[in-house]
Amino acid sequence: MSAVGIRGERDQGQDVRTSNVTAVMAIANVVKTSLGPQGLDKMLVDEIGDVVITNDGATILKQLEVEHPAAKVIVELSQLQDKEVGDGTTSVVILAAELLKRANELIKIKVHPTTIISGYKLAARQAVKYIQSHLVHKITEDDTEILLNAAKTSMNSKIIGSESHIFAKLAVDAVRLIKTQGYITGKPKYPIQSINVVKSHGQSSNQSELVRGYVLQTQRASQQMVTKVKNAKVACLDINLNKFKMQMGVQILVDDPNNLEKIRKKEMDVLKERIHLLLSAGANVILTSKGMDDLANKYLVEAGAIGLRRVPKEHLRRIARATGAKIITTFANEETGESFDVSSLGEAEEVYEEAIGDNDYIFFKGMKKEQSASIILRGANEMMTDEIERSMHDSFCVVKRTLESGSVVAGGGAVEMALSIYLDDFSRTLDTVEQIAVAEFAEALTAIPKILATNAAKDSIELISKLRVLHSKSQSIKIDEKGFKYSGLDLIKGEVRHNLKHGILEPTVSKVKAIKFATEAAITILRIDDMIKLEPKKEQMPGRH
Amino acid sequence: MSQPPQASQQQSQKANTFNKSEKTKDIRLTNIQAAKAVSDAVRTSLGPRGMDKMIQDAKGQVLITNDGATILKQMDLVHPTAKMLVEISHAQDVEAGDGTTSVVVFAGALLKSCEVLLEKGIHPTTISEGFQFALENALEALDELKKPVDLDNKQQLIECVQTALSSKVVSSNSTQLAPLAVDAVLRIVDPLKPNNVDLKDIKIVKKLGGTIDDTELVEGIVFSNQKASQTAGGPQKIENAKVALLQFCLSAPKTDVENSIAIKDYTEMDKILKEERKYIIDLVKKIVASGANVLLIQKSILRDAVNDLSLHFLAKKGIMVVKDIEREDVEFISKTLCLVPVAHIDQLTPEKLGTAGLVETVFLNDESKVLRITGVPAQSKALTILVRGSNQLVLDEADRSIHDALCVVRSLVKSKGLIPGGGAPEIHLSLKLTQKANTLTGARSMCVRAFAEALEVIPYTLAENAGLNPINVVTELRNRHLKSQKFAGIGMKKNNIVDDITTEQVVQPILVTRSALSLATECVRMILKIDDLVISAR
Repeated sequence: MSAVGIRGERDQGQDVRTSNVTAVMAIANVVKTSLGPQGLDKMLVDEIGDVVITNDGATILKQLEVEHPAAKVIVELSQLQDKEVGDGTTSVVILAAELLKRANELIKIKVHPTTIISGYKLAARQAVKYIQSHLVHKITEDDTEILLNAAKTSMNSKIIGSESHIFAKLAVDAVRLIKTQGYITGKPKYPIQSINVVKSHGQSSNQSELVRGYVLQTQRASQQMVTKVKNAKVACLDINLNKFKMQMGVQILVDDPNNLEKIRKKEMDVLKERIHLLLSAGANVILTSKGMDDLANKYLVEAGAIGLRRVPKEHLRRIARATGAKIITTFANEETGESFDVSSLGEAEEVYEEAIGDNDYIFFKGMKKEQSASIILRGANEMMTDEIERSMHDSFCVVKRTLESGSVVAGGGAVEMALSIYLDDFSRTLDTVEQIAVAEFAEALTAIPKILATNAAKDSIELISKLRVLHSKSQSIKIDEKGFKYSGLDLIKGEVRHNLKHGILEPTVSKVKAIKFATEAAITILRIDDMIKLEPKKEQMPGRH
Repeated sequence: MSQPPQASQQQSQKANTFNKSEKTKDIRLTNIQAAKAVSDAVRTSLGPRGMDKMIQDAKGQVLITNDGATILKQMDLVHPTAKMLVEISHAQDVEAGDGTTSVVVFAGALLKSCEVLLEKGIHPTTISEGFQFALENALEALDELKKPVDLDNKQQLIECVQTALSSKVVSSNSTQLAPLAVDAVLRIVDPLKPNNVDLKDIKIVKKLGGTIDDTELVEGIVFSNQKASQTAGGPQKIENAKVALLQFCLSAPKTDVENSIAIKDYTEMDKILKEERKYIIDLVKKIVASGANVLLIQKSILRDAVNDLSLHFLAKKGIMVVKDIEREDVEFISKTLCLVPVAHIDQLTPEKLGTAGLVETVFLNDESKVLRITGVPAQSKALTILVRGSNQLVLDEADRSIHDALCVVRSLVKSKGLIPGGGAPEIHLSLKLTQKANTLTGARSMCVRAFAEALEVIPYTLAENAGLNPINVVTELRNRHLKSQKFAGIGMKKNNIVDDITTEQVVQPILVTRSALSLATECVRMILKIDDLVISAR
């Protein structure tokens, strides 16, 4: 117990900073080797024994059980990047850790933390400004080539990197399909959560396909139902289509055996009545989020309709929106009776069941209201399909952000190197203590190309020097005709090349946000000079003194 | 910590019994030590260049903050005297909302000077009275620095708030948050009671996501957790809303657990079904008759607030339903929308409804949703601040900082006076008190002088935290004040001493300093008077 008398530990000053930086570096080291096209994957086994194989920074960090509070800030940082951008989760962590490491060195030589903070803030602001004014390449919505390349770049580091031409096309097509007008702003929006990804293991990942329509992983409620309905009228229900039961608290007391039969019949009649309401309105595809028992199946089979039960609410909602159906929660009408309105039905050109791999799937095609995109992923095993799904999610995000921001930057360390040179020059225009912090910020940015090269087993020092020369040239000459500013690494050949031409592209917003977030996280941790860890409260035993 | 006398155990016990004064001195010193330790714990977070503390509480939750009151509250201190300091910090938070760190740092410095005085053999009561005398003089001298505040001069108010925010994590957003806080408080000032505002009229709603830049002031109400029911396809946007706040449920009454309804005939089954529907339909009809088109339903743990049936009918009638309204929000909602909560359907009459221009589900830029009620009646005095932040830590800290900012504006409304910041007032007071001490004789003079010296701890710590040489800074400040540059203080823009700190817009409400001085002095006087510590056995 310290002099203050707290129950727990307390660290102050340099001790805290060093311990924070060490913790953050440890986290960064975990994900470091997965950066870039030549980065390797991690196999994570949780306490139950479930295996996840991934290359995605955010996923790796989510699985780690991090104790240290400062490390938690970094894990949250990658989660934030994942949420806001969807890509660049690894690089943001590496950048933040590098910034912290350098700041700690500066503090050791007696630079005040607040000076470093203001220097970093200044540097980040300048960097973002420079990206937007010098490094972006504007694109239009129809520039398929660029979209494909951006998607490919994001996939390069993943397991599907070798088949990126197939998957990039899938991603771009899918994102284009789900384009909608914004609710308020009227700007086009790409709600990527409405891309329905279905995983089915078996066959090769090359067999993955895009379906223009909705795919639901479920079976018909009964095998006797028809497998295909054309000109489908879809009813979406949130009602139990089981034999009717009285609610709790209602007892049925029968003193006459005849009555028993009548009550049973009544129970069936209520259901029969309801199904009849649906069928007479013209419904021939009936989805419910709840149950559908044999009795209901029987009526549906007779009517030649498809019934789907236990459809997850989320899917039900999307199908309802796409077909123009209304989700019905009760049949009750104002006259205390029951009815079903025809206008609640949605429409689709066809609805059919088809088996893919081991599972049956229901396909909704030609839906009336909205186009919908579903992607069926195939792969050798579950871990692979899971990783493909994560990679696809990243690519969707990349395509979406590219479309939204309307500009791209060159990848392969090009932006980082250009910024590093620019900030280094910029730092020399400052006559305050911030100069040294800005210079360190510039140096920290080179960590990304360095690690990219190291992961690809190339000579990082040589490559970085070459890059630096080109970028320095581009910033010193007036007109950069040859586009030296887009120079980045070619990690296969171990060369420096024009990455914009070679289609190594990233959405601008991804880089901008990564710099902003990493700086913010580094500052949050830098500002801490005192850490108090309270002991967990011990449960008091009742009745003991 | 006090050491037991070197003699054997028995002897020391004997000595304690007979030599009471020895023991009381020990107690006093222990108390002072503990309180000083607390003040040392927070001193590095004082000022714009202060650092943050990271606290992991007993449950493993992590908190990063710069706010003295929050730090101390979270530290879970054991020593009773240390707890007293925590309380004054809390009291300062309630009274002024800002200066929670300075009050503790100052109390610590006062206690330190007590130690010296006690050593000289001055009686604690004399010290206590001397401090009181010094405080009265200090408060008088403080008024000399006072500049009047004009509540219409927004720029002045904003500067003041910016000073308060400068030490926080959100300081980079202070240009945006400061005007927001000023606008919020000024709007709720009641013209009938111009000297006070009730901060309860400003509701701070936190919503994770976005960045602090997205924080906004909403004239109306924002619900981040409750949303308009979508289950039955109810409306998401209603213009010219008539809002009813219901404190009853729109679901079928349940029988008690023990009771049950027995039915014997199948015809009765139909009846039960219909009865339930009829009940709901009647409710809905009455609601429609009252003219309400937005229903806010208070959370109930006894029954479902709504059921599928009532939602279905209400959606058909185009009535928006928002359930799970928290009990504590009821008052705020009533105030904002000028409505009367209704506890039974029969009391639902048109005059109990509130009006709002627009009630709608709004998509924020990161695709999360909140329910927003705007266009509230003109006479309504309440409003909402929607705080955004990229993670929980930042969000919580933004919330605390906005609270501080609001408090600063409130203290300006309460006592319309401004004084410079940056250590200027403390040096000024210190100088005045030293001069005063020279006119006195006896122990009191010593006490006043000690008080004056203790005041210097604020500029001393400010300088230290900013990485300056504290001794040089404090002595130079003294020197300048002696040359009657009474606004000289430490400027943080260039990290130097400026002749007039107000030119750098470093100003603070007089109430903050006044209350900090009084609270700290009072607490120190109380600690001085303690001469025995009895820990009762449980």
